[in-house]
Amino acid sequence: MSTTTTTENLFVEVRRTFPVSRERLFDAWTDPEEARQWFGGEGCNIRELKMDVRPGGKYTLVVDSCEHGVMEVGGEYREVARPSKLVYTWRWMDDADWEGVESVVTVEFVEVAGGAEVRLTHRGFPTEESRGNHEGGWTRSLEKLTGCVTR
Amino acid sequence: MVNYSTASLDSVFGALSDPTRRCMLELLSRAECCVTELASRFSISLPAVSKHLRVLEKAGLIARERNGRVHRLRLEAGRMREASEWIDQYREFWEDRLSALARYLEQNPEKKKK
Repeated sequence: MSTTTTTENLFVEVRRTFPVSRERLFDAWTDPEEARQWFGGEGCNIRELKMDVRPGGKYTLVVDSCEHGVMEVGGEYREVARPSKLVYTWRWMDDADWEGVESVVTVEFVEVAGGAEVRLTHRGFPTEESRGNHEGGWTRSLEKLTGCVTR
Repeated sequence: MVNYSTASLDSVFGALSDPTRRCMLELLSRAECCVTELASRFSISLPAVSKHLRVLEKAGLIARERNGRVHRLRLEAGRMREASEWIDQYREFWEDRLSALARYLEQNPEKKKK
């Protein structure tokens, strides 16, 4: 089981291989009963989880975590292609800073030797035209700059 | 997870969206310099340079020190770090989720029959 991550281009990319089929992974990700079991994690209770897994369908997740208190996440499914791909928007609710901000999570399930790999990207500033225009340009130089300023 | 102000990050990312401003930051990352010195490196007018500098200042990416008529500019590294820390929080978040999924699948390799 390996995990690699990058923060280049100012999005998060996480990869991990699991010794199961991608159908199995896809279902664990999209079945509310299963997602409930793992998405909350340790020290984190899921109070509510509603998922309408189809393009345009919505989901709501209310998490009660010791560390951060009650938090609500919501969004809409953009792409649902079992067993290979899932795209959905992601927004913290009841948070003024997230007003009008929408991030996008893309999960790809890829067949690899011995199982399937999850390739997840979370882009923070994705779809609005104004933000979309920024992509490519500043993102490439950010890493370079971060390198400059932390030396 | 939500401690960072997205509004302020927005202004950072907005400021970084312009090639001239990125170039200015790169120059300032090498050495502090004054406004006229910086302006001489660009073929745009001084007012245009000032306009870019104001955007960078507003985003907190640079600081300006006034010494009479000479304005010295320097890079503010903290804001940039904040942007990359914000990203790191998400990486950690997803890493944790995938670890939890791995544990779950270990115990439930097959989907339960309903």
